[in-house]
This record gives sequence, structure tokens and C-alpha cells, in this order.
Amino acid sequence: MKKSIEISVHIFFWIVFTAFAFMLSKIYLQAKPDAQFGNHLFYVMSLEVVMGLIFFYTTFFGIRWARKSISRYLILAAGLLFLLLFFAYPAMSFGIWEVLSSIIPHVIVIFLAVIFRRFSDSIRLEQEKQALLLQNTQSELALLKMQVSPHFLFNTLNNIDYLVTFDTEKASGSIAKLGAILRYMIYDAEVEKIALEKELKHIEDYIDLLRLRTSGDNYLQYRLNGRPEQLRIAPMLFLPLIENAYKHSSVKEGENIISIDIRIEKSSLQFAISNEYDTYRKPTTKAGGLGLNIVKRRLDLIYPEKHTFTITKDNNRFKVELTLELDEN
Amino acid sequence: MKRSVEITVHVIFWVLFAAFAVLLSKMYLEAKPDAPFASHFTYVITLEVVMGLIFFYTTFFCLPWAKKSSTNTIILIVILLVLTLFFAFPAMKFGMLQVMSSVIPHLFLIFLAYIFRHLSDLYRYKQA
Repeated sequence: MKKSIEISVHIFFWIVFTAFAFMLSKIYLQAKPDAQFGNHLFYVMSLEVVMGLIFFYTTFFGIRWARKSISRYLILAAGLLFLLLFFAYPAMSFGIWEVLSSIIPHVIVIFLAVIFRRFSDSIRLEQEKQALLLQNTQSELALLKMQVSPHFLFNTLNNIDYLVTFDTEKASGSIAKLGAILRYMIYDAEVEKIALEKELKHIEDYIDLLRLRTSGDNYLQYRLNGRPEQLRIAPMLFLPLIENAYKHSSVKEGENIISIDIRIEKSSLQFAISNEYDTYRKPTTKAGGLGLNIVKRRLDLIYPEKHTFTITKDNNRFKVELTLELDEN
Repeated sequence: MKRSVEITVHVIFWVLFAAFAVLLSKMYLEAKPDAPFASHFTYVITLEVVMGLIFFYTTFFCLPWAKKSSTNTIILIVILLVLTLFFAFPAMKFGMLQVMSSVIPHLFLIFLAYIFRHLSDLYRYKQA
């Protein structure tokens, strides 16, 4: 349901409320034409509606504010109680029914405001849920595309094919790693969170296969500090970043062209990856941007307010830094 | 919202509704002690609550069925319209305001039943 419909529902409610108050006042005046408010019907009506609005929207907006803590709920309840007594006070000199005639309708208004708040939240929740589902599906689709990247497979298989002739032992190890990567992508990465150790092992296997495509072991520097045990992480978060760094590296030969640094302190993880890039080269595709956007979207979905994600360009180095507050087992 | 919470909300709503009906009737009787319903107070309140329940739960339980097709929606609207006119009919000889005093609260109940239905559906959807 759209926001405009929600507003329409509120407007409809206040029209019916006003009509109801007007009708009751008129009926009362018919029964007792000499009632005190007979000469000030318009004023009394306005007062009723204003009081209704105060009670309704104090509750309606107050609940959202109060949700953060119990003390806030108590403040809101006290505020509403004070308002109830404050508006019922003038009726005390007339009798109990008059007091109740002030309190009960306001209690009903408060009750309805709670229902409306819930209604409003449910609408927002439904919209957010649909948006998240859509985003998640898009991310999953994009991730799926990356998982079966024929580019990566062809190059790796070509390199392994080359190794089969010259270094059979290494070729065999590489095939095993490729198998482990595919197994991880197809089966292990299905879950929402996975052991950090597994994810790091997957990255290391992936890096080892990437190294087959580079000039030497020092082309890509990988450092890990800290203990990954007992921590869990969303699978395949780092892979697009590594793939992106490799894809956009300015040269395919040299030392320390790509640098990956992972630090773990308690449940906090810092991941930094940087690569040399050609500042004059214009990007030919949007693939890099897409990869980074997928990571950003997934982080927003899985680690809301529990992550930072920064991209910096310093001279000829492109750097992505990610910090995460991970779950413990 | 759990099922028990949903039922509690309904119960609170009907307690408030009944209290409001009693209050309004009492106030009217204070203003006009010789009102025709004075000697049948409990009966009138019960009738009010029963009418409220009929409107509310006809809407509440029939909405899912009505959503299935436009014919069903039209049937439900007609039923509610007939009920509204049926209950407002005795007030016609008293005047326009009395008719409105029957129509508007029932319209309000239908509106609230719609909101309650929406919340209930959402709860069921979440469970599914």
C-alpha cells in the first residue's frame, strides 16, 4: 500500500471522527436544547477534534520514539495519562459520567492510534520486505553469474592444462583447489552465514589459482592477522573484491600489484584490498562497478549498521576497505 | 502479533466499544430522562454491541473471501449496505441525525474491521 493511501485512510478516519462528534453533539442538543455548549457548538467541536488529534498523534508518533527503550515507553504512558487527567479535570465538577465521557473516548482514540501505528508499520514492513527480497534476488542472480564465470574457469583450466605438462604435482593440487572452490560456491555458500575459517580457506584457494595467472607469488600479497575461529560470516563477500582488483590491475607482471590484508580482533574483521591501476585508462565495462555494488548491497542487507565500506583512490592505487562486526558461534 | 495477542486486542476493543455505548446512552438519559429506551437500557446496549459485532465480523471474516473476485467484493458491499440500511431503518421516523447516528458508527466499524483484517493477514503471512 502506498503512502498516499495511508494518508487517505487517516483523512477518512478524521472525517468520520468529526462527523461522529458532530452528530453526537447535535443529538445531545436535541435531547437537551439548553445545554451549556449549545451556543458554542463550533468551538466545542473544534476542541473535540483538536483533543482527539493530540491523543491520536501523540500515541501514533510517540510509539515510534518509545520503541528504543522501556523508559521511553513509561514516559509516553505517563504523558498520555497526564493528558487524560488534564482534559478530564474540568469535568470533575459535573460528575463521574462526565469524567468518563472525557476519558473513555480518549482511551479509544489512544487504542485506535496503537492499531493505526501497527497498520502503518505493517505497510512499511511489507514494502521493505518486498524491496529487500527484490534486492536479494538481484544480488543472488549477480553472484550466481559471477560464480559460474566462464572467464575464470577457462583461464584457470588453461593454466592447469599448461601445468599438466610441466608440473604435474602443482597441476593436481590446482585441480583439487578448483574442485574445492566449486564445491564451496555450489554447496557451502548456500547458507546465510558460514564459518570464517571456511571463507578464508576459500579465498586462499582462489588466490592460489589466481597466482597461476600472474607472474609470480609476489604479484599478490596476502596477509592474515588474528584468529578466525568461532566467527561466522556471510559467504562470498570478499571474492568479488578480489576478482575486481585482479580485473582492474594495470599490469599483470610485477610485485605487490595486489595487496590483501585481513585483520581479526575479537569479533571485528578488517579487510583491505588494494591494486595498482592505470589512472589514464578509461573503464571499458561497468563490471567492476557492478561487483562493488553487489558487495555494498549485500552488506546493507546482511550487516546493517554493522559494517563500513570505503573506496579510495590514491595516486595509482585503488583501495577498498571493509570492516565488519561478525557473529560468534 | 501472536494469536493470543490478536484475540486480546479484539477483546479490549469490544470492552471499550461496550463502555463507550454505555457512556453515550447514560449521558443521553441524563439529558433526556424520559427517552423511550430508558426502561430497556440493558437491552439497548446489548443490541448496540450485537449490531457492532455483526458489522465488524461480517467485514472481518468475509474480506478474504471477497478479495477472491470482484463478484464476491460486490456481494459483500451489498450485504453491508443492506445491513446498514436495515439497522438504520427504525431511526428514519425520528430524523436525519438519528439515521446518521446509526450509519456513521457502523461505517466506522467496517473501516476498523478492514484494518484489523489487514493486520491479521499480515500476521498469518509472516507465519507462512
